[in-house]
Amino acid sequence: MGWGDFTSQGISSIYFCLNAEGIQTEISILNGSVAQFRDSSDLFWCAPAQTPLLNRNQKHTMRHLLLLSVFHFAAALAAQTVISGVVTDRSGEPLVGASIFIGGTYDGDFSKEDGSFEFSTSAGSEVEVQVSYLGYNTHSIRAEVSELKNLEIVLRETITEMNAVTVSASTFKAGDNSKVAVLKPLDIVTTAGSVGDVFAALQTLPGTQANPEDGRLFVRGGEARETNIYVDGLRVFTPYVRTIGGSPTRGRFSPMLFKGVSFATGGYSAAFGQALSGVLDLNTTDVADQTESNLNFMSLGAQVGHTQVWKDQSLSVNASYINLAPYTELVPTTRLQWLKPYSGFSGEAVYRRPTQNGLLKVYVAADDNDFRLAQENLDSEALDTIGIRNRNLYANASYRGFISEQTSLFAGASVGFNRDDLAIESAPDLQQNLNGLHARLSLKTIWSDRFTADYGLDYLREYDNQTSRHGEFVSSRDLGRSQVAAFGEFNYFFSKDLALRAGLRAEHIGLLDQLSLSPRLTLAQKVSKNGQVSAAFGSFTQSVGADLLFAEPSLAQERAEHYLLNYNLKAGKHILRLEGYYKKYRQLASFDGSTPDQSETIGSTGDGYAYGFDFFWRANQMIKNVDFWVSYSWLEHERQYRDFPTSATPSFATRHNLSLVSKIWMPGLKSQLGVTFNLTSGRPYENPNTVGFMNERSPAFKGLNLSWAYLLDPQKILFFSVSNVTGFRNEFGREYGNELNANGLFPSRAIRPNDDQFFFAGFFITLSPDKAKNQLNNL
Amino acid sequence: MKTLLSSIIIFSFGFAALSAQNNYETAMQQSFEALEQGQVKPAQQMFERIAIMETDKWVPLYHSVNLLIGESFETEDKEKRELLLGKAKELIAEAHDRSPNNAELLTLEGLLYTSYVTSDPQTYGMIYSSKIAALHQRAMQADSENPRAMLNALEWNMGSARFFGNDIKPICEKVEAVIPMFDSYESDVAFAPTHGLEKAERILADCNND
Repeated sequence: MGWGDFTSQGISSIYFCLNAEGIQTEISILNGSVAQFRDSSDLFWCAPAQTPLLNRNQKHTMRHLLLLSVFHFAAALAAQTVISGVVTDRSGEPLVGASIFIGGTYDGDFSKEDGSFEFSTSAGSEVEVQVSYLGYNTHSIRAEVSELKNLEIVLRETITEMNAVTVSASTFKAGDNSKVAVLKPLDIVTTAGSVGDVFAALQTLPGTQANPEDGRLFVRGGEARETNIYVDGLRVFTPYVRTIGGSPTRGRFSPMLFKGVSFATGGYSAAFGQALSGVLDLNTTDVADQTESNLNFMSLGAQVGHTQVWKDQSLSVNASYINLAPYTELVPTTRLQWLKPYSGFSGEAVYRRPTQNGLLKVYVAADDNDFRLAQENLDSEALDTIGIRNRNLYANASYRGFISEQTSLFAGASVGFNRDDLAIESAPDLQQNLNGLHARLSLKTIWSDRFTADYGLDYLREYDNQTSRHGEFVSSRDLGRSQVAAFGEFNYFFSKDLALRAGLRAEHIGLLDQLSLSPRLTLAQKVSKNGQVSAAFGSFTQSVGADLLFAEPSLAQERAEHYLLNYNLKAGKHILRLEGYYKKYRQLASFDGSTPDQSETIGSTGDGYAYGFDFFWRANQMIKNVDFWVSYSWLEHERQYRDFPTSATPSFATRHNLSLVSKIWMPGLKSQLGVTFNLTSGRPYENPNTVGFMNERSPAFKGLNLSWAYLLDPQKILFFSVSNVTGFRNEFGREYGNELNANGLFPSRAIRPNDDQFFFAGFFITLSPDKAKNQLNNL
Repeated sequence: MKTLLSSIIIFSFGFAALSAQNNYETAMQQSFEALEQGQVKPAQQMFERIAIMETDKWVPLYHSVNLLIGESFETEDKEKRELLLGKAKELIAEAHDRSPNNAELLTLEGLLYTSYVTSDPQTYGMIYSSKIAALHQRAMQADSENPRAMLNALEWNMGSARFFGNDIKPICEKVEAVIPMFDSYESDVAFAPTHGLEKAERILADCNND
């Protein structure tokens, strides 16, 4: 039987091998698997049958054999060289089961209990020995075969996001599984009181001040405009829906289009600029998995969505119509006197297309809505009517991909067009336009698992126009501004327990023709298996708002410095975060008089500070089927805010903020109950009838929200929610008229939520043409 | 003379190819034996090693990934689990490159993401559920006769039916119908996966226990 016959037997019938003389023998099988034999000048080996074909006896015999070194079949017996050594980690502990191989050959071994290995090879001269072990960096040695004896190989643990210290520990993440992720993707939808709004869900995290009558994000004493919102790293210029004072706004985005959220309440990366307090980056989903449609019927309107998946591209579209009229008819609890209840259309689309080494994404959102209502005028006691129509278009396109083994490129641009038409009875009609453009080009180079660098360019252009019409009289003003920024930042891991991130951002502000430099620094140290401490410093700048620039275009950039100390623990069912911070404000715009336009002294002389402490604890399944989190923020804040005559705490900054959020899964009822409780200390407000400034405090705000989601089946969900179930009478301070009344006092009224309670009901249906099921139906 | 030379050349090349083929088969068989003896880790690494050597074969990658996923299901340590699944993802991407639209690989990838979902349903449930369903669907479209593709899709549907308290009887009947397919299914690829029958029987046993 020659070798030809032998191979022609195929894998299923090789029960024997040939010995050197070409005589068949069964030794090889009993030997574990491999025999080597010589046929004239050539060497062959053969193997036993596939395991299923082994009989019991053979299996039994084989159990006694050590198979760790089964790969000892070399190409030629003639020049066998033995390679040996031991594999350990950095602390000298042996690594068991590491694989040691000669590149390009089958010659190798796996390390034993004591980390040792030994095998022979016929490879001559210089070879490359590769040593690999899951979770460790592959080590290779290039040397003469004869020198590869008693090797002492030390493998270094690979630094991964899972095992290493996290440099962005002061950022809240949702949706991914990193150690700093505190929210799950579903939390945005299922947190009672959020009703599917990203911003409302984020307000249950520490570092934010609950402003339930406003709805925007207020971070650590910063006003809402100090927190910038991004979609896929590109700026959104008008992220919030237009509402009337007293009714909370919502985000313009539907949360289901996003796979993750990254929310930094301070000390963020040099990649972000023009934000004094916070950065929120929303990431759209990378790939859609299957074609499906969504139909949502809500007490406020209806929504349809469809995702179409082609071979690898996909498109998701979403359209919704909201009309508050039926709700206001059914639940006439509102204090607002609607003349035309809020109604509007909105639509979104996401297109994704993978390329060979990257991904192209396009996101477009448009909406158009309006409302009209009557509001009491404190001075005249008459009713003023206010009508607002808002139209908004936002689009962004980005590409992310590898341009070389080590370097990935991000290129993207966003544009936003926003138009508000305001018709207020006793005032001229006003049209406000804001157009914006943001372009970004950045590179990330991964030098090794310990050293990465990000660097790039940012271009931002904003254009504001305000036109007022009063009969024949039309006045218009506009303002364009642009800035160019360059940033560079590196992450360096001294070990998996200690890491440094250092960055610098340089911005050139067109209006001022001025260059500003903002350094950022974070140092993170792992203090236990699951716990870490990080300290951060950062300098941040932001241009003042358009209303101030219209009055004085040369106003300097406002500045803030952040100092943070953070402790982060993620262990088992628990996530714990503690963070102390100090924020110093400088060069704040301030003016006297009631508006910047009428001010005689307008300048950048204001300063301020904020310091405080954040606490966050989340425990999932500590109590069976219960997931809850507690967040508490303590804030001390004073600043020279706009027309403040002195430094004081603005009305949006509250000292104590507490949120308790819990979600209880009731398997028997196929339901999830959500309970959220908020407690916020009183708001500062100014009472012109007393001496002093901003000395009054409103009563504490309390709210208990409930939601109930009932899963009819995997694709149908019934959802109800009620805010402020117990009907607390909340107040956000008082507002005062401009003219003294008969008692010589300024008239006042309490600022109350427009709706003490809010009810919501929805029925969400997913329709997927599940071809899998059809296929299974053929059975 | 010319003919002789070309025969020698053909012979030599053929020999080299056969020799390489032998190495492959031998190595694969050794890996299976290691597995048979409970040497899961070495077996997994051997398959991986073979995949490095045999750059056109998807089968060793399949087995390597299958073992990684199997281990991940049994690993409580979340960090370790992420490592195993991360490695599995890397290898399966390579396998898809070698053999696109392969029902076995698509089914296996469905199992990979199922491991993610079972490790942390709240994080991964929403992200991966539809992906898993889509992978099963693609697998069955790629090969409508493949019993593993069918079984994994059924197993997934059963999990969801149990969760929502729906009747699992129709699914059980289908699992029963899949069982003979394990016998009749034949692959022309050496060392292609053959497992799944025991799992089908186990699922069926669970059906009867309910």
